[in-house]
Amino acid sequence: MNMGEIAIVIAYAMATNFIESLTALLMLLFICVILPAKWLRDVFLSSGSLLVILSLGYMMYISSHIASNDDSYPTNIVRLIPVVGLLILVLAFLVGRIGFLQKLFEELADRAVIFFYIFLPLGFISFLVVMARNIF
Amino acid sequence: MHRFSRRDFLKLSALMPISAAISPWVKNLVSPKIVGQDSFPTNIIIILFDAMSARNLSVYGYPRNTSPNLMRFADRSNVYHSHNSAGNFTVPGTTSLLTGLYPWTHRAINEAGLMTREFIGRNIFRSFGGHYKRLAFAQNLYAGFILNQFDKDIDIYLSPDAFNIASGIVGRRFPNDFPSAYRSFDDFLFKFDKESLKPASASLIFGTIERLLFLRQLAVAKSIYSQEFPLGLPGDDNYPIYYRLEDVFDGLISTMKNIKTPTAAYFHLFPPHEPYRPSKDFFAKFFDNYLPPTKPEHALSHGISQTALNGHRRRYDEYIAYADSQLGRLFDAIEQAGLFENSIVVVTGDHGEFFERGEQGHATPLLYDPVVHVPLLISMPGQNKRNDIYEPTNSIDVLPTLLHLANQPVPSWCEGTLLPGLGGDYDPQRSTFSMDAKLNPAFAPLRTATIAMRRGAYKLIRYLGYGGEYEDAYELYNLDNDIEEMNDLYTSETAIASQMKTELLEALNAANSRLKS
Repeated sequence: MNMGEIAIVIAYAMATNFIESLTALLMLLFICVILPAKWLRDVFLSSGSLLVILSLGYMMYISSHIASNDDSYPTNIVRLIPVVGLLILVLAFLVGRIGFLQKLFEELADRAVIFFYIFLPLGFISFLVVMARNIF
Repeated sequence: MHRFSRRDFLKLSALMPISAAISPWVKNLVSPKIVGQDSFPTNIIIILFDAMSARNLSVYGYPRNTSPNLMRFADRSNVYHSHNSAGNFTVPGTTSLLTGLYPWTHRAINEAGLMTREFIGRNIFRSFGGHYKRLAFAQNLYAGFILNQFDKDIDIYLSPDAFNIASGIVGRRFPNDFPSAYRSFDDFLFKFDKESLKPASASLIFGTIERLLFLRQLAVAKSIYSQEFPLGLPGDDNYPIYYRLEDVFDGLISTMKNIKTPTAAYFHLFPPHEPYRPSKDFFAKFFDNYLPPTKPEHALSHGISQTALNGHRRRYDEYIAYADSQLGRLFDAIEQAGLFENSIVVVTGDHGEFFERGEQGHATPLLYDPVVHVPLLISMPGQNKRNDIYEPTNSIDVLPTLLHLANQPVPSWCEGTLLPGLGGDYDPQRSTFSMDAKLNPAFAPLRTATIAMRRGAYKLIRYLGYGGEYEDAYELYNLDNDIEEMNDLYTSETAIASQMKTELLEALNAANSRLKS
């Protein structure tokens, strides 16, 4: 592949990650809206961060499980998704109530903001590139 | 100044019927004669089977009856008995067929590799030109990536999963940018690469969800067809593609019935590529007493036992028989649609398959006959007699021959020549090459490779850069009296060995120096 083609693949990757990030954020906001304010909205930074980290970790587990199996549908794992999802939600809610953990996740989220400044413009530009290539 | 009056308008209008009457005559007078429209109304239909070795086909004398329908087709075809692919796996084999160039020229030599950009315009689709409707389909994504390089020269591109029962291919959802989309999503972001250290997909959320949806679709398909396919559904181990050959060939039949003359169509079918999964009608079809000759294990092989190799061979033969049965249906449909009367129909393979010397498959540095010897049958419009050609030919000869048969000029860059029997004459002094260089960097001189050179009955094999005794080694065989390549003549027939070695080295040096320049 030449440099141009590699750049296009990177644009697709960045655009996909951009939309994935937006999806994760929207899911979080949706949960925030439907739950009582003091459950999540008031401790959004700490509980929200933990919720995202645990959910993505669980996705990683599912992904690696799929990869290590020969194209068979992971029925047991899929059945457990609602249970694990609920467990993650409860865990996130509880952590929001523990002072030092709350502070830890707030500090972590604070430092992770730098990635936002890097990836947001790159993701947005990549998204525009992909859109342009598919419209024109 | 004279104004354009109503009277003038009526006068002019009166001329319109006259102009309408003479316009077809004028059109015929001034428009260029389209090749293949009246004097030679020709479609070009290439049907390629991935990993189909000529050595396992009954049409070429294999003891098992693997290809009765190809034998039927042979009765109306030019049958090439010593046709070699220029490459030993999909990427170089397909690219050489479609470009008429050797792998050391087009440089598509690595797994999932692409051909060099400067030669992209040198392809069969562009060579046929705009007179033809150009259609392409490749079930194998590696071949699809090559076809995607020619996307500007292809009018209709069918997605690799066009006729599947379960598919996780995403690129087709981006019709305006499918080459980049296939590469980005199916080969990278959404790919679960079982052979890599980190097999999970690069897209954590969408990739995982997409794969779960695909696996659900596959589970349903498996439950429906579990009786029909005792070894599992046919598919591609590298990509999420599963199919029944019945559906694939139904798709081809329907596509061919809608062909508008003149069309140049390329159909690259995945079977009988591994995994070998025949349907129940062909499963256990060859539990017989046939035993291929036992050959000594090669130092560069994986050391697979002969018993295991015989088992793999039997499954492979059964899978060929399954594919052949569907090919028979396709031939019947082509016959009914009258396409045999106005089409050149080509059946070939991109490379062969190997079950000997401790090795199985084709992505091997061993370039013995089963790996490079592929079928080539070409049926001319209205042909009803069989014509057997025994002289050695190469896959790079197919492009110039088809262009010649379609009254199109053969481009000067093409490295192949016209096939004997279809416009060409056999030249006993001509040498042709097959090569494996997948371990060599694409744009570096060939230093780790196997190159087989064929001249007349002789075949010289050079192993280069594998270390030990195969750091730079040669073997020589006479295929006229030793088709199994058991007697290495390199040290006994020194005159021919030396002559061929000099020629091979010159050709390799020329290819390497072209790269440097």
